Amino acid sequence: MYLMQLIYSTTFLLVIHYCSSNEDIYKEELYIRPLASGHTYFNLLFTTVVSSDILKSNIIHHYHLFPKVIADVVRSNGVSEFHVSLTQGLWRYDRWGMPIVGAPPGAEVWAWFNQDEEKDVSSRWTSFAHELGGLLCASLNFVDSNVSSSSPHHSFRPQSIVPKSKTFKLDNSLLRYAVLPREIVCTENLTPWKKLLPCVAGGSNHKGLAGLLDNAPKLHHSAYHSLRMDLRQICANTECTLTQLELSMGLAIVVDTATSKPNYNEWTFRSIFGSNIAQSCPLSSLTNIYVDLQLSSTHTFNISPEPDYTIKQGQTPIIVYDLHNEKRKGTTFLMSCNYNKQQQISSTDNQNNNSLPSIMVHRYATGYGARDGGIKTVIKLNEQDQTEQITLLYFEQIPWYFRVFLHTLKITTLDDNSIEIKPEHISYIPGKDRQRSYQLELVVKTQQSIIISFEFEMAFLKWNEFPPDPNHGFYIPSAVVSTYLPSKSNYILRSLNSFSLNQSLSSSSFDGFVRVYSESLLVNLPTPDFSMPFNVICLGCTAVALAFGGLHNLTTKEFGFGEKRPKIPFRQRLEDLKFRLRASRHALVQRLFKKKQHEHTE
Amino acid sequence: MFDGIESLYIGLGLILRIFLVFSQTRLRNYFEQSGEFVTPLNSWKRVIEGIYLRKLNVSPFLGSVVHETPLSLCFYSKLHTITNGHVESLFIIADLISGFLTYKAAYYILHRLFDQQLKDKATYKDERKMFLLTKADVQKNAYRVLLCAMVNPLSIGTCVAKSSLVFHNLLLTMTFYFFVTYQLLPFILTLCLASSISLYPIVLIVPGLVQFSNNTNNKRSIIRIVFILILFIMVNISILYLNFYLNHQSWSFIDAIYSFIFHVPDYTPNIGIFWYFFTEMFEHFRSLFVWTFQMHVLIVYLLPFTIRLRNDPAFLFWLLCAIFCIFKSYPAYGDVAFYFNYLPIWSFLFRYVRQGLVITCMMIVAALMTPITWYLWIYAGSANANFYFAMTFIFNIAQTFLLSDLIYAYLKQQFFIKNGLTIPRINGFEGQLEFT
Repeated sequence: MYLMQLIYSTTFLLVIHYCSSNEDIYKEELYIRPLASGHTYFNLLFTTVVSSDILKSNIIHHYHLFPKVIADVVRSNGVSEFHVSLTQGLWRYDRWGMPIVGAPPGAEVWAWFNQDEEKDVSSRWTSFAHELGGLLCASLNFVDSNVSSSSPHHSFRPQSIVPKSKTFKLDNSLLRYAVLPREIVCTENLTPWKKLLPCVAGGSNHKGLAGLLDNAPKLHHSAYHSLRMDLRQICANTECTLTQLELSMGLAIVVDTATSKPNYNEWTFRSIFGSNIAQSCPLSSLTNIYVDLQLSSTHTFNISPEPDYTIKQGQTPIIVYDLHNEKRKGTTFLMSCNYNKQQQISSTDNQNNNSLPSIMVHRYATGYGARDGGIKTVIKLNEQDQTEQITLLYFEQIPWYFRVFLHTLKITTLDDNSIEIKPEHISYIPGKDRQRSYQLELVVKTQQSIIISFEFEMAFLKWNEFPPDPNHGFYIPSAVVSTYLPSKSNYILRSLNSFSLNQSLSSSSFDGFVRVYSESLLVNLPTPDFSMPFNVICLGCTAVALAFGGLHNLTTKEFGFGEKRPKIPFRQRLEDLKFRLRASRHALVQRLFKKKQHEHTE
Repeated sequence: MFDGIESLYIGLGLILRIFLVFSQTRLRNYFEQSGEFVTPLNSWKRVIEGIYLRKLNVSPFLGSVVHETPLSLCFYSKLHTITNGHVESLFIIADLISGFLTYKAAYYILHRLFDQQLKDKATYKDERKMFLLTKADVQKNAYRVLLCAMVNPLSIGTCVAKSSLVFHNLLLTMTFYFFVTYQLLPFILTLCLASSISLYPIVLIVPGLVQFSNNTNNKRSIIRIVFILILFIMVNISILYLNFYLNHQSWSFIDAIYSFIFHVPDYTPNIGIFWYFFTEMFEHFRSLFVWTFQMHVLIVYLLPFTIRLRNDPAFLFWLLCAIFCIFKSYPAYGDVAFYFNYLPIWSFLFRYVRQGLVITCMMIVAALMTPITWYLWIYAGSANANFYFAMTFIFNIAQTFLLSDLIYAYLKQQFFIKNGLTIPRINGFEGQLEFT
């Protein structure tokens, strides 16, 4: 009896062990960077790596750390990798430097699909976007129409690291990219996103870094707020015989931490997140906090508690806290930081220039009136660290109601408008009214900052094609500039080898890949009068009826001589009319009178 | 080659155009951007875009910017390379040629009218001779046509705006010229080319049938009609196939041109009524009204006019042109100019026109107010689309009034020629002229 129980429990334990012992890894990281503008950049990063077996449909799976809903959505739609970001606010490259990974304002989704499927990519994309939208409480269902989706050739290469056969050819028909600049991101998106994390329990008693997400309104009290989720496949071993799934979920916020005192900044976990880290998450294999002290050359920092150790990334010192450290077991981790500007600063310009990112994008809408317009994009390269030509990939997806004239495309250098640069390659798909947006991809090799400009004409929409607030304007999604930086930048960027930070920090895995997003533009379209449909239909039909009536008369009637009718003088006519009126009144009175009599008798 | 007055008028037109095209850049920019002169169907900017896309190896008909036929795009691309981008002079030359051809066609029409009257003169009583054209009238009216074509601000504006309508009008004028000079093959060819560009001229085959079906003893022959029809269809099909071939064997241009013209998906304001009507249309009634309006232009007047004016195919031709220029889906001032320039031919009808003053005032007011309301709507933002639509609406109504008045005048004149001016006594009473 006891023996049997022992056997049972052992096998049960073994089964549990088997299910959970495979190489599922969960890492939590928080990256903090005080910024020169007085803001502070916080980036929470949760990375889960699991065996890619869970995407196989013929076995029953045990979801240990990986969210089941995501696996279901990915499996049923044959998605090979996807990236989604929901962003409120605009990342200011010139003041904040480079983010770990950029995102355009609004929602952005792009996904690569597997080839061998029965359903076509478009229908899978539609259902995938709908399901993901439902999952994140975002209106991603608007991406399904071709109006806001596209398949860029070069800008969005797959980020999965999988063994590629020699015959492998990138087929951009498997890619769908969509961006919704009008999407508003709020706590309703944060809550379902948060629930996908393994250490989030019911209620608000989350463990680990997820504990910082308890106070959602606090997180939205920020200048920039970006939620994202990336899923891709990576190699499980160096020979790449096995693949794993890597799900990376990130939340980036930029908070204004300046105080009323000039040049003095102060923040604590409680002031930013409204809570501290009560306990570490037992499921995580790594819980690290990094503070990037890029500003330490100009600012004096006073950070508590003491860091566990310091690493150096280039010239910038980064201090690291390991929350799984023995000495922190069972204690609440609270962090506070204050810093102010040092008084003696030499060669400010030099410093400023150093902190400028290697590449910046700004975009402007040109033209006046609601008829013709244009777009001017300025791509600024930090010319100090530019020693060789770099290849820029410029991607633009413009809604169909801005009719782009590609022959007006002009690329010049920023300094001299007369020097024209010929793009290495243009890949252009013209838009079609109500069906497809304009897609433009340019490959430009340059050493200097450049301006890309082109013109468009605004379409006149039907009265029922306008959104509820027609005079708000229409958005043009951000332009995307992707490039490989030749030299190592001062900024920590997400490397393609590993989405989790600890690997990109420690290893020499710098690949220099950056994707920079410009501002999205808001342009007014000419509006018709929305209260007039019936009047206009009546008037339009009148014009046709007038023509038809007149011409019908002329083609059916004939001139001829007839008997002249006697002319009746005006006075006589008036008399006639009076007489007729009197007679009809008389008749009316009599009728009423009769009716009354009738009622009386009844 | 030209006599004194001709060269004077042509010189005047040439100088005006050169002056406006080459020295008035602001005015030129205005014309190039104004929706009254340039529609999506004939904007030169879109032609350039088409040429550019062809160079990029992107099909111009993939998007909805280019609406020229592959053949005309090929032609414009040749023009563009020959002149190295400076096409203005070609536009001026084309406009002058079409003006001269208009004059020639007008001269033939007037001459024919005069000959006809000479033949019938014997049967007229003395009093009816006051309606007849004199030899001097023929030349005078033809000169007036030339002058009108040369200084008509609508023609000049179209030329300055570099609207491809200039070339389309040249084709249509050639069609008319070959029509009045009885040259069947060139007529069919130019007609098919013109209708392959803008679809509507296809109705002009009907006056063509009336004109060319008469055999030697002035009887209409069915065989000739069938022959002309077959010829017309064959040429049309071969042009369609040529376009198909030039478009790298793809039919995508059908959607970009004919469907674009017929279904009116573009609501860019122009001088017609389609744009605002379909902007404000309810979606479920759209196809009904599209078909109604297009049938109204293409078919409704075809039979009645043909029956009524079977003895004067030239007038019938002109009238159908005017009808589709008024009611086509994307009309521009260039279309109006096309049929306006022929008006002086029928100047002997003007004395019977009843609402001359009203029509003239409406046209002038609408033409002057259109740019003002456009500015207020699009740039100043102080007016809305209704103001602009009101003006285009007035312009449209004025044109229909003009047309119906002219037909009325034509019928009245015909009646007077037949019956004289004296009104007979009927049943012993005084008689009067009736239109019943």
